[in-house]
Amino acid sequence: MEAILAGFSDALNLSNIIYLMVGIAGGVMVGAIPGLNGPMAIAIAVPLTFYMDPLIAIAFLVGMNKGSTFGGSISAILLNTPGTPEAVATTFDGYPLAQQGKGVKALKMALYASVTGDTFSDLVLILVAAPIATVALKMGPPEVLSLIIFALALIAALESTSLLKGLIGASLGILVNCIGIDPVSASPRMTFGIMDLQRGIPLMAVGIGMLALSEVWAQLEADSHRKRRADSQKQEEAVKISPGLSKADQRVSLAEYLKVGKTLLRSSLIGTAVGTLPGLGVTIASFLGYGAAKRASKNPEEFGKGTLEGIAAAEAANNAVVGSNMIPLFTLGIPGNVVAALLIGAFIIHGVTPGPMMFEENGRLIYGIFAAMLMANLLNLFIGGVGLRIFAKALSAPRNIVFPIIIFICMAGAYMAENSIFAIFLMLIFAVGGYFMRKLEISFVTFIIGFVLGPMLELSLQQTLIISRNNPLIILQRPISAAFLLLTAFFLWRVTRKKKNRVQG
Amino acid sequence: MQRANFYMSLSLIALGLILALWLIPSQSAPGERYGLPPSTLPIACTVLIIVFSVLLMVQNRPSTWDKKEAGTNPLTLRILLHIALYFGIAIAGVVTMKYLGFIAGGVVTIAAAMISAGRYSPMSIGIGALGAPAALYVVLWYGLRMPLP
Repeated sequence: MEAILAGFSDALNLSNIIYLMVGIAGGVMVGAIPGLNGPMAIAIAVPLTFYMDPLIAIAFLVGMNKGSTFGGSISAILLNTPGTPEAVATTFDGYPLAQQGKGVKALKMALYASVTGDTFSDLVLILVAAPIATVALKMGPPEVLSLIIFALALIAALESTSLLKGLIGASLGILVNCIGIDPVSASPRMTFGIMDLQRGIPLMAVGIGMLALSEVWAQLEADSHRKRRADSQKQEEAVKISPGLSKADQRVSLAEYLKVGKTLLRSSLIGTAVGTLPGLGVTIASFLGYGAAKRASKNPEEFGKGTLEGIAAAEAANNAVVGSNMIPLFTLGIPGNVVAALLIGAFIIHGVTPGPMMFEENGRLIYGIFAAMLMANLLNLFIGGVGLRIFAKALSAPRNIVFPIIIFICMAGAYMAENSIFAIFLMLIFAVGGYFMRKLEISFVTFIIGFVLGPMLELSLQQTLIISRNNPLIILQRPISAAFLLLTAFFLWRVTRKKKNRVQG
Repeated sequence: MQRANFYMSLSLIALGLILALWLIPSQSAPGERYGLPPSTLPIACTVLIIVFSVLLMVQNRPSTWDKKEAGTNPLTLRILLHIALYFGIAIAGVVTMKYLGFIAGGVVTIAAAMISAGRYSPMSIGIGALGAPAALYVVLWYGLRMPLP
C-alpha cells in the first residue's frame, strides 16, 4: 500500500506532468501525419530519456504512445487517410461525418472514445498485473522457456502475412541478438574482431533503423512515383474545420456520449482482451470492435454513412489495446507488441528489468507508471480537446520537408543511444534490412520481438539444461511448460490449417 | 511474390549454411563444461531459418507459380536505386558529422534528402537544412545536456 501511495504521489510531480504533456502532444502530432506512427516516434524518443528520471522517462514514452494512437484518427476523419494503420476502421464513419460538415464532432467523439477505451484498459492492467506477476514468480526456467516459445510462435503467426516468414523473422531476431559477449562463458561471439560489437547490437539501433528510418525511406519511395499525385490530391480534398458551424455540430453532448455507452464498453472489452495476447495488434482490435458494434446495432445500415457509434467503436477498441498490451510486459517481461519491446529498452537503460520481479524490486516505480498512465488519459482529453484545430493543421505538413528532417533525427537518435558514430552505421544497416523485410513481407515486428526476447530465451534455456543436468525433455515433464508447448503446437496447427483452407477455398 | 519468395528462400538457405558451417563456429569460443557452448543458440537459430526457408521454398516452388503473380517483383531496379540513394545520403551525412560536427552533418543530410524528395525551393531547403539541426542542437546540447559529435 505504501508503494502504491508513494508511486501515485511521484506521478503528480510537476516535471512529470510537463513531460507527459509534451509526450502526448508530440504523439498526437506524429499520429496525425500520415506515414508517421507511434512506434516510430517512440524509437526515436527513447534515447532522449537517457538523462531523465525513470518514471518521467517511461511516462513520457507512454504518453507519446497514447497520443499517437488517438492522433491517427485525425487524418482518418479529415483526410480519409488513416495516420496510423489502426485508424483504418475510423475512416469508415469518421470521413463521411466530416463530409457532412461535422468534422469537429467526429474528432471529439474519437477523442472521448479513445480516452474511455484507454482508461478502461489501464484500470484492467492495474487490477490484474500484480496478481499475474505473483503467479509468474512461481514459474521456473522450463516454464519461462516454453512461455517464450509460445509467445514468439503466437506473434509470428499473427503479425506476419505468412507463418513461415514470421518464424524466419523471429529466428533472425534471436540470431542477431547473439552477436556480442556470450552470457555464460563471457567470450566474444560473432563479433568479427570489431570491438564495438562486443557490447552487442544496441536495441535502439535496431528499433530506430527498422521502425523509423526504413518506414521513412519506404514513404519517400512511395511518394516518388505512384502516391505523390494521389496524396496531394487527397490533401486538397481534406475536409476543412470550419469555425462557422452550429454548436451542436461542433460538440458531442452527454446524451450522445451515453447513447454510445454500450458500444464503448463492448469495444473497450474487445480491445483489452486483444491487447492482452501478444501479437494480435491494435488494428485487429479496431476492426473487431467496429464489426461487433455493427452486428449489435439496431441500425446497422447507418454504419459507413457517418454514425458516431462507428467512430466510438473503432477508437475505443484500438485505444483499449494500449494499456492491456503492458500486461505481458509488466507481469512476464514479454513484449506483446513493438511499443512494449521498445519500452523494454527504455526500462533497461534506467536499470529496471521488466518482469514479475519489478513489483518487488521497483514497486514504487510501477505504481508511479500506473498513475502516470491514468493521468495521461486526462491530459490526452485536455490536450486533444484544446489543440484539435492545431493538430488538424499537421495534415498539411509537406512530406518532402518532414521526412528529410526525420532522417536526420533518426541519425541523431542512434548517436545519442550509444554515444558513437558506429551506432549510426549499425542503425543504417538495420534500416536497409528493415526496408527489404518490408518489401519481402517478412515481419520486422517479429524480428524486433525475437531480438528483445533473445537474451531471456538463452538464459532460460541455459538454466533449464543446468537444473535438469542436460535433459531437454524436462520441458515436457513439467505440467505448465508441457501445456504451453502443446498450446504452441495446437496454435501453429490451427493457423496452418486455416491458411490452407483459405488457399483451397 | 511467389517468385520473390522462392529466390529469397534460396538466399536464406545459402546464408544459413554459410553461417552454420563456417562463420558461427569460427566466430565463437569452444564449448565449456558448464552450460551450453556459445555457438549453440546461433546455430540452432540458423538451422531453424534453413528449415523454415526450405518449407517456404517448397510452398513457392516454380510449378505453383501463378502466371500473373509470378511477374510481380517487389525489388525492382528503381527500388534498389532509391534505397541506394538514401543510404548514400545518410552515409555522407554521418561522415560529415564525424569530421565537421553535428550541424554540418545535419545540413548535408537534410538538404540532400529534400532535393532527392523533390523539394527544390532554396528557401525551404535553407530553412529546413539549417533550422532543424540548429534547433535540435540547442535542445539536446543546452536543454538536455546530451553529448553530440
